[in-house]
Amino acid sequence: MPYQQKLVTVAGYTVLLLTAAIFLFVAAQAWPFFRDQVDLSFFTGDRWLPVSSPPSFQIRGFLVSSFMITSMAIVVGCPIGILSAVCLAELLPRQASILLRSVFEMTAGIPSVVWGFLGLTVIAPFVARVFNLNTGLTGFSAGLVLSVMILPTLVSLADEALRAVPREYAEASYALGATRWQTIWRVIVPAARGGIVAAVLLAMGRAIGETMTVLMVAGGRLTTPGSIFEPMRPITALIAAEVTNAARHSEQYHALFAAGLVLFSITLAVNAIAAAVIVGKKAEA
Amino acid sequence: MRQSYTLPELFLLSALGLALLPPLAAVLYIFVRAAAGISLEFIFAMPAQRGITGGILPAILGTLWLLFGTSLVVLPLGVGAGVYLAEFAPRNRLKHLLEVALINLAGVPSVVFGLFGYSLFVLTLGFGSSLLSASLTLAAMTLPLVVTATREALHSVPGSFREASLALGATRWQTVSTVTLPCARSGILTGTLLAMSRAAGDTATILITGAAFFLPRLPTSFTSRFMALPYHLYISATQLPGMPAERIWATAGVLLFIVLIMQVSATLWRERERRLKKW
Amino acid sequence: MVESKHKVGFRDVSIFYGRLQVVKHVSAEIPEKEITAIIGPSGSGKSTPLRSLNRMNDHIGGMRITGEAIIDDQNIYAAGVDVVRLRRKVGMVFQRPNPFPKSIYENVAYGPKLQGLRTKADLDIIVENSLRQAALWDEVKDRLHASGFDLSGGQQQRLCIARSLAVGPEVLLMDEPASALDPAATAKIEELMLMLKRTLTLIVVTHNMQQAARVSDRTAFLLGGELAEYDVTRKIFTAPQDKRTDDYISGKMG
Repeated sequence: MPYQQKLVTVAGYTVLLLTAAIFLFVAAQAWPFFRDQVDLSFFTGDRWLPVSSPPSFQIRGFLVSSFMITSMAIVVGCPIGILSAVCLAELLPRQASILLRSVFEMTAGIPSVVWGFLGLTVIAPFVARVFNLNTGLTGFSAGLVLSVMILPTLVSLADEALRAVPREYAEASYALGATRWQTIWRVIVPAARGGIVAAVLLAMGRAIGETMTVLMVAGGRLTTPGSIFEPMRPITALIAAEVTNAARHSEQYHALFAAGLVLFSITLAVNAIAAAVIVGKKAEA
Repeated sequence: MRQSYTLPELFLLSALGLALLPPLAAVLYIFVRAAAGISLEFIFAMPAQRGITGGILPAILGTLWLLFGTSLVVLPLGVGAGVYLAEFAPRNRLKHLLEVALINLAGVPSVVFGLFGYSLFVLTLGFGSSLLSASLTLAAMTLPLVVTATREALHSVPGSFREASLALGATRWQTVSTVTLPCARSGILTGTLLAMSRAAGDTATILITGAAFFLPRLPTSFTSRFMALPYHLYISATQLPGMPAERIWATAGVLLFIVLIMQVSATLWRERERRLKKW
Repeated sequence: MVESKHKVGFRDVSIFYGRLQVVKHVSAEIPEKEITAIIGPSGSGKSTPLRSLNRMNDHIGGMRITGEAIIDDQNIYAAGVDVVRLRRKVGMVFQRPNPFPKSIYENVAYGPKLQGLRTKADLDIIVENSLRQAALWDEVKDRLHASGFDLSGGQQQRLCIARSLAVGPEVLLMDEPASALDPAATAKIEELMLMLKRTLTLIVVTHNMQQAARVSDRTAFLLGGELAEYDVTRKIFTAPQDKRTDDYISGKMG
């Protein structure tokens, strides 16, 4: 085996190694916290008081916030995203689809801090006015911005899944006298179902992990929100907001890594399901 | 032939419009608002008075340095791993595991990469809060993107090229280096450029691993702290009540401009290559 | 007919893809500097034994071979055989023309360059000779640096033949080399094959019986992975011994 081939083999395994390393090095800093706190109140309690004495680190509020904002982003984003993908894959002329795909891809590049800034200055005041709230910095505003941010992921993956459906299926349907509308909804979309589910899952993973937007737009209240129209702080925002201020190796610092480990596990679970759908489908083909 | 659409299909197309409108409006709005704050001084001068006056040169250069450092690491590693996956990895459980790891890695939130980078590079390896730590962290974050782009580019090279080369007595490595990789080159480079645009805009990772808000000097080495555009935007927008609005918009405009330039040139280049390519 | 030296041989060769047996106990001796045609209905495993001769099947997962495939009295599946060297001796031309996305010149120079030849003068000579041997020189000598894709299909296939010749093979395997070409281009390839057999041993898989009858010296008839009949071409087409061959030749199946 030439040495170059050995080098690329090593590079290939680095991917595996990196995945393991992320878990290990985050877990290493989270360990002191889990070692000292053995009960489940970390997940179920609502008291995040890092500087009280004694301090208390409980993350229910952040988990609930993440869940609320992600749900909102998915509920708003999915219909629009999937319908858009259907347009690109099935309705528009080829050239137009190619152009719009590139446009979507470019919008994926808009940095989340830029979206956060727009949410802060444009969306939040607008939401406050429309819903007559004291502040627009709420889960609702963050979810709204996130629903736009996940569209590129959603559209490109769903579009890909739709286009992977063999042309023969559609032709068979047309040959039986079906209209384009019937063919899309009864043949193509059902055939692409697995890929579309994977697209939604990966978009959900992105929404859960999104940090800057929710940090800047969601408000920042540390307790469990009663509704999506309240200020809240998802788990990503908690980490980004506090980790640079926490003294190294303080209890707060280890608790933040513990929160990071929880976040990592959640996104890993969501992505693993999506990966199983995608890789499983490839194995079938 | 002109396409004609039924009423329900027009409804679908309106969903597409709804999806495209916000990002396009956002880009336009930011550039319009940014125009007021952009000046030669803003781009080429050092900041003064905690960023309230002067320019953002160190933040711009910091971001460019960051991209340079990141690509230095991620390019060989990511292309290597992509080549391994596409050309050499035997089809077994390990390869399956690698592909699953790749999908998962791409989905890890950037804030988790930040924690990882802090734990490994800043603390364990002792690189401190620095350009080096941040570059390495961003390299980890963009690795799956580069690997995937490389793998896809190589997969799109027709198998008949490989066969022809092997049949001429080329080794597998010769086949990769003289036929498949050159054919995949433009796909790999556009993928890398897109990955770098992601790195340019990422905030959560560098916030944890070494970005600073106010450093009125250019980074002198990879071990020093640094300013960077996304972090500068975040702090100006949220932590500094005295910051003039047009300066924040201008910062957002410059960041967006850099990111979009990379995106647009990658996309245009890819389309050009697609037209020129004959297989 | 005078028996010439045997160049290639199959000794009880069976080939499996996973659990599927594609080639079943094939034995045959193929003389040098002749054209041997392999015919048979589609799906009868014609390409597999051909591709086993330069071990192109190695890259297909789950491939297993038993028996011996012989070239120059050596089992090419024996341990320690250098596959790369084998492929320089046993060239291959594929069903669809597959030039590299490089210039005509670079396509032909590819193989010699792999072997470390760098001098421009030497390469020039090899490129010209190979293109002449492939009867393409006169058509392309003024545009050697144009892309291989600028040529017509038939020219591309001859370019691929020239590319193989540049490595200096002794055996040339051709996998339905004319199936993607029009009749005029096919005729040129056939003419070229007759020229090449002066110096090379040619083995050609074809689904075109007329082609086999026109150009080959010997014909092997494969059916369901078995070698139904193998003999001098004239005999196969005029007095087949096996009823299945007769049926196939006279068009009752396939």
